[in-house]
Formats: sequence, C-alpha cells, structure tokens
Amino acid sequence: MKKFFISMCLFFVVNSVIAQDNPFLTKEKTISERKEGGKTLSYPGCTQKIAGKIALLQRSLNKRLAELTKELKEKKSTKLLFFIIFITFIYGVVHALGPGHGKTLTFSYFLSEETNIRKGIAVGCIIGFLHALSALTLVLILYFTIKKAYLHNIESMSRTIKIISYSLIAGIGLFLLIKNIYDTKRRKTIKDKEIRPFQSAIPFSFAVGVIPCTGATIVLLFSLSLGVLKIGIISTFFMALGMATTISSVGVLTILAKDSFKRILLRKVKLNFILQKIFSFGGAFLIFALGAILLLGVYVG
Amino acid sequence: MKFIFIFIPFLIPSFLTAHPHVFIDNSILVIFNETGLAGFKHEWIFDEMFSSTIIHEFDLDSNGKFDEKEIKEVKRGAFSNLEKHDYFTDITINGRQFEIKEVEDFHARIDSGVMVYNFFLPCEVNADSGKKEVKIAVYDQTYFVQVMWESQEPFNFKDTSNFEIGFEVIEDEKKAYYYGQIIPEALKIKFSKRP
Repeated sequence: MKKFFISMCLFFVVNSVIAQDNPFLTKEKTISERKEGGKTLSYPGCTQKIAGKIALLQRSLNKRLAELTKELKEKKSTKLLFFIIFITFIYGVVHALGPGHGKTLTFSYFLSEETNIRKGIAVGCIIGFLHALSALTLVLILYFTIKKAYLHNIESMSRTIKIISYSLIAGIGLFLLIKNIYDTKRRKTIKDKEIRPFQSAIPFSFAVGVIPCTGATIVLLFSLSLGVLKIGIISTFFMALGMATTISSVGVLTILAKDSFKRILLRKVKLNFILQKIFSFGGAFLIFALGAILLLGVYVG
Repeated sequence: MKFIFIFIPFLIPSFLTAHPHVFIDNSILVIFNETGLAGFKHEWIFDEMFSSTIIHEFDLDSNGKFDEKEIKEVKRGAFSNLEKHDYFTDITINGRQFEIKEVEDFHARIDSGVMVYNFFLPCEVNADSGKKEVKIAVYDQTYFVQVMWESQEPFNFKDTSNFEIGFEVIEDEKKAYYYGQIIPEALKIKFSKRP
C-alpha cells in the first residue's frame, strides 16, 4: 500500500511536468523510441477505460461546440447560446483535468501554505480565468496587428510567457522555502487557527495562470475564422469558469485534507507539528522543483 | 496507514489526463508491389476546430482550397515537424520495430470545411522468404492529438493478387502510451506469396 501511494504521488508530479506542446509546430521536441513497454512509469490498468471515455467525451464536446457555433452564426437564438455556454463550461471542466493547467502546483501551494477554503476557490478562479484571458489577449493582439500566422506566432509568444511563468513559479517556491526556514527558526510551535498572511497567493496565481490555454486558443481561432469572435469570447469565458471549477476543487480538496490531518492528530502535538512542517517544506520544494524542471524543459526541449 | 486515503482525492484528477487538443480520423491504404508490401497511404481527416485554425493560416487567398504553393506551406508549417514524432505511426515487422525515415506524396486539401492530409509511407517487406507479419498503429505519444480509425472504411488493400492476406485489428496493450493510460488499436497484417 505504501509503495502504491508513493508511486501514485510520483505519477501525479511527473504527469504535471509533461509539456503538451503542439507536435505540428514545436521545433525542439523529439519523441522517444516506440518500444514495447518502453515507459517505465504507468498508471494502473483500471484508469485506461476512464481515460478513453474522457477522451471520447472531449471529442464529442469539441465537435458539438463547432456545430453549435456555426448554427448560432446562421440564426441568432438564445437557446443555442445557452447550449454553447453549457457545453463550453463542461469542456472547461474536462479540459482542465488534463496536464498543464496548474493542478499540481495548486496542490503543492496549499500543501505549503496555511489558508482557508475561500482563498482556495479564489486562487483556482484566478488561475482558470487568467489562463483563458492570456489566450484571448494573444489572439486579439494578433488579430488587430498582423492578422495572420496565428498558431505559429502564438507558439513563439507562448515560449516567452512560459519562461517568465516558470521563473516566477521557481522563485515563489524558493521564497516559500526560505520563509518556512525563517518561520521554523523564529517559532518552535504553530498555534492552531493561526492563518499566516496570504501575500504570495496573487503572484502565485498570476505565475501559474499566465500561460495561454491551448484549448481556449483553438476555440477562439475557430470562432475568428467563422467571423464570430464574440461567440468565441463568450465560449472562452465559460470554458475558463469550467477550468476554474476544476482547479479550485483541487485547492479546496487539498485544504480539506490538511484539515483532516490536523483533526486526526489534534492530541499528538509533536507529530502534528512535524507533519505540518513536512507539508510546508514539501509543498514549497515541489513548487520550486516543478518551476525549475519546467523552465529547464523550455530550453532543453 | 489509513490516513493515506485522505490523499486519494488529489490523485483522481491526475488519473484522468485524457487531454487531446486535436482529433484525427485516420484511414490507411495498404499497398503491395510484386515482391511484397510496398507501404501505407495515410488519410487524416482533422476535426473542424483545428482544421479551421490551419485553413485560416494557410489558405492565404481564402478561396476554400489549397493550391500547390499553399500545400507546400502547409507541409513546411504544419506537417514536416511530425518527422520527430514518426508521423504518429508505429510499425513493427515480425515483431521488430521499423524505423520511419521519410514520407512521400504529401498532399493537403480542404473537404467540406475540414482539412485532409494524404501521404505515402514507404515500408517495403519482401515476402519471398516466407510469411510476414506487419503491425501498424497510428497514435501521438504526447496525446496532444487523438488519432482514431475512420469509422466507415478504416483500411483497405491494393494490388494484393500475388499474396494470401489475413488481417485483424488488435488492442496492442504492450504499446500502451501516455503513462499506460491509452492502448492503441493496431492493424495486424499477415501475408505470404501465393504458391
């Protein structure tokens, strides 16, 4: 059981580091050999059916969204618009389940920081909306300036944004690590109900959310090609809401689980203290390490 | 150790990492020559959303067609890089990995608003020395793209008169990719020369 848990944690972390670059465009990446059982890490077999079903769901949502957008272009209908809103929200929820939407970082952050559920939701929302807003900004900049080669330009602009984002993430991780060392030296015990200032949450959300969402970019470019950018913007907004829901859920689950730990170990003061320190240092180190690995990934390719 | 179950909720979202951004319906024409297998002609039909982004970018005169010049640009800008991904194609010959070096006759067209790629992937397998088994699966290991068999006519055979051919579609579990979550469906072909 212990081994299972450790390996699951490992996959969880590793999985978030997979850079999902567009293989049609990304120049740097070379795929590893296709050997039988070549991957040393793999999820348990039971996840295969779920993963397949989620993929089919995404495919049908993608298709339905394209059809509905075209339909709405032909005839203005409030019913159709609400249907698009519903589809894009679900699409956002499912989309953010995949790697590269800040879930592991959110998990690590709330593992490290003392906070409450309200702030957990806030961080998820900022990341989700900024993720989509970043895509929208890039598309609009290109639309009003060069009006062509959207995908290639977005790909190269994304690279710069990624470098900034990953540097900030690593920096925040390092800051949290130093802060934890300082706190440990300063105080020997952590009082219950004490909530530390939440200063790093905004920069953290910004650093994670600023990377443009590829899914939102494709939705926007599709609506742009049909000449219905407004529908694309509405779609992107509700897709962002869906992504925010998923990311917030991860944040809230982390906070709730940490609280459960505290309750379970309420009487074991020393053990409680040690575990909280492990969470704080572990979370901060994860943020730093993920930021550094992602940054390295941009350069190494 | 019971407390570790508290962590399970965090891990659930990570299990469900099905995350394709692009969807392709793929069909293959298996082409033979006088001595054996000559190669595979692929046809990729892209989903409407991704198609529109590529069409918007490469159909420069916006006439709904790719002319020769535009096809060259599509190839340069949104196909050639797939060399690094083996053109999403995984081939084994009698259990041995086949190294994909080149593709020929690339063509791109716009068909009812969606983009279609065609290309030939040479893979010569001489059947003089006995029965051969070739397995081909098309998938993107990074899972940015989800490739599925085309539903109407996923594969067909050409110039087969000199050979006895058997085939089946299998779930190739040994090739499970994306951290073992996705099992590709491979076309397994067995062929030998007619006596």
